[in-house]
Amino acid sequence: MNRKIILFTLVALSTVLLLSFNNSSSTNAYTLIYYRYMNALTGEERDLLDLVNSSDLGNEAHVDKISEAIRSCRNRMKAADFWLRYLEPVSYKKINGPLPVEWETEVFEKFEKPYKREGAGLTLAAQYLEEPGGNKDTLARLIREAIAVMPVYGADSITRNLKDHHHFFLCNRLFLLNLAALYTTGFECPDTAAIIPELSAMLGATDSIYKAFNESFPETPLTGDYLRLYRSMQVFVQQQPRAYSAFDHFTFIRDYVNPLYRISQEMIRRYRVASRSMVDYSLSKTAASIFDKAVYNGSSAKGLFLRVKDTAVLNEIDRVGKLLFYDPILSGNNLRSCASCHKPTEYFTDIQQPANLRFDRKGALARNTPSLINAPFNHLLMLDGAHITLQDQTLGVMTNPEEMGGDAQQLLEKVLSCADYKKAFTRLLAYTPQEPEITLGHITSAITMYYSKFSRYYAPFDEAIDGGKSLPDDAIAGFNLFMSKAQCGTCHFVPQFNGVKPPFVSSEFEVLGVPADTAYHQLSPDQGRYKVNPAKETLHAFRTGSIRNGGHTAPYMHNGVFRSMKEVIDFYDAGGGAGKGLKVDNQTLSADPLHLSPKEKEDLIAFIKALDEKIVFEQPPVRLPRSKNPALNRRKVGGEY
Amino acid sequence: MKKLVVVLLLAAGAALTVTNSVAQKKSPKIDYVFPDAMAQPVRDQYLKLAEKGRVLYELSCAKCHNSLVKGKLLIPDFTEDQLGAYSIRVANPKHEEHVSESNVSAEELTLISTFLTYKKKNQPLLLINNGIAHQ
Repeated sequence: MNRKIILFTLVALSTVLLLSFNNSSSTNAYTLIYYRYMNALTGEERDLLDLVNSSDLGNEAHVDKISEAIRSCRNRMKAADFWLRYLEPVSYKKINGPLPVEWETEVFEKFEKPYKREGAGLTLAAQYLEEPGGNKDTLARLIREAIAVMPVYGADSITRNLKDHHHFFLCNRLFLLNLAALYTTGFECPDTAAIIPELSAMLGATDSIYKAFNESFPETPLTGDYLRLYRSMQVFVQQQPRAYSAFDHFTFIRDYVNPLYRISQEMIRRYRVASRSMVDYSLSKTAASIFDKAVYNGSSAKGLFLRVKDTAVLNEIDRVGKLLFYDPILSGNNLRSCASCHKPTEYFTDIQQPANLRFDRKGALARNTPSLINAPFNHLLMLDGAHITLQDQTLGVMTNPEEMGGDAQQLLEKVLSCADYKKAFTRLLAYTPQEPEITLGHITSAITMYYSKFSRYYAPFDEAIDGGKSLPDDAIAGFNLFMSKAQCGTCHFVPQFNGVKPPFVSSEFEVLGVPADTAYHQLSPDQGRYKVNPAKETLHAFRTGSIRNGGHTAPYMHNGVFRSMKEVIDFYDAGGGAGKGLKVDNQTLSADPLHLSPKEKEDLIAFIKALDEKIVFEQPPVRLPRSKNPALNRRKVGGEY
Repeated sequence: MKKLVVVLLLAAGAALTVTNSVAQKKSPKIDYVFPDAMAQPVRDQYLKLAEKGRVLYELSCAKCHNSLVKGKLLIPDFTEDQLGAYSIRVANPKHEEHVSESNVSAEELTLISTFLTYKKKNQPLLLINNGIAHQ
């Protein structure tokens, strides 16, 4: 009874708030379509809730009817997705959350603890409906929570954005990025048969938003070029097969989404679009293409040297950074350098063994050494996200008793005992006026700047999807599978193919159920993210890595358990650890098999190999700087183990 | 009404002089006010951080935010809300560019915030509202 009263109050309240939506003073075409879409979504959500309340989940016909209503409601949601996701991303998780619980650390909240966000809404409702023995109240709650956030989109703080063109172009930029990364992959769409029909409906609805915008804001219109290309994209999608596995994701992005992004970035600059939202925090206004490596800012490679722009000074930092990278002076016993494990000849990882030796040489470390290439495209570093800057991560390894075993104070003294380092850092001090003296921060910043320059190269795939160069058919087929049936693209997001999805403000973690051994006797005991943020959902969770250069960075997974890409793909094909029969209660990867054919697996590997970047590596330094302390001058370039 | 006009004139005058001479004017000596409950070792640490923040403030913020009041260069007083670390980046359209990730890092922003939090307040307060300093 009580529940009914609460429900009634909620409904009544939202009706009042909704009606107040329409009292807006500015009623141009653009504002009208905004309210029309929002009201239509709220209305269908309410109808859906009524239907659930009056249904019996044990009755198959009722379940089918609910399923149909969810599908129809999703189309209303997709129509408004353009605004929903950008204007209030937190509320959006209640309308269309991908997971029941997400732990988030977003880039602008790096200095706060990760916080818990409970998802609700249509995706979770559809998934719940599929589960046997579902409870009606739970299903109703998922929809009620979506209804409850709708008034947020009528609040002044949100609707005042509609008065000018700024938010529109930023909404649109996110929309385009999601067209490339999310909308065609089934992320937030459990019914794979609905992905392309929903995409098609969404493109149509957004076209109406475009028309209304151009009518209401004639001073800053979407250009004719943009609209023509957009409409040919609609035609392309209509002519494509309805099955997302048969959809040509490659051509869709190469010929439509990315060129639209290019025009969109031009309009953003020409119309001097200014952001008021943290959502845009990482995104660059100057990068022309989604596949430009400057499309978003991940972690700063420059650290303390952020303000240095002078080429000669940058070259000097690079020179010192390289020497330090190879210098075992940074370890406790002067026998190990960064290059000992992150071997520059092996894509800055170690391809010989699952994990490197411990500092005391008694056995191996718990985790595989990750490649440093493309590390700056993450927001959280280490497989468990323990560090928030590249420089902290570097210092963390130097002073970790199991890795390089150094003592912070001694490290600094040892480095400065070398005249070359001392002279160089003393000169560089002028470029960090906030720092009264040379610190470990200067040393780690030089190191991160040095190795990060190897992240600026592109792969044949980039040159094909962005530059129009040709790519072998198997690699294109592999990309199309990657984005559909193989379900890779829902975690390894376009364009970096890592766990950073548009708008690129956070790093994602997944529980895959990686085994300790290839016979699947047991789950890897590594607790992963749990060590940093203990919660039921984070146990055995690891940050999603990039698959770029995957052809050169074996062995794979956090513990290096798989030696070949084929083994990795077989693991995913089987539904991860849970699919292989291990007990993984919180696995975020579906335990259902993917049913990939041998040919499909080969195509996936061909695509991953097309992501091998054309990196120009360097020779190691000939010698290391001499120290005042003769004992230190026995050290070898790159260290000894 | 007269008062308002005077204030506006002062503000306009200040704005004009700012563009001419704030950059050249040497910054005033800074006093800090730390909470009484803060132990001395912690206070020493915060002082170091605040001083780093001061240098960064001079580099990245002073040009727009410092103002000359009666020939004296003043660093304005910011409210706790205004110093909400990451929101500084989108506080206004100018910040979007000047205080972007590639110009001021998150760590630096925290240092600047520390500086402005513990810097002794002006008497009377010199607050910033919509980019205009007013006492």
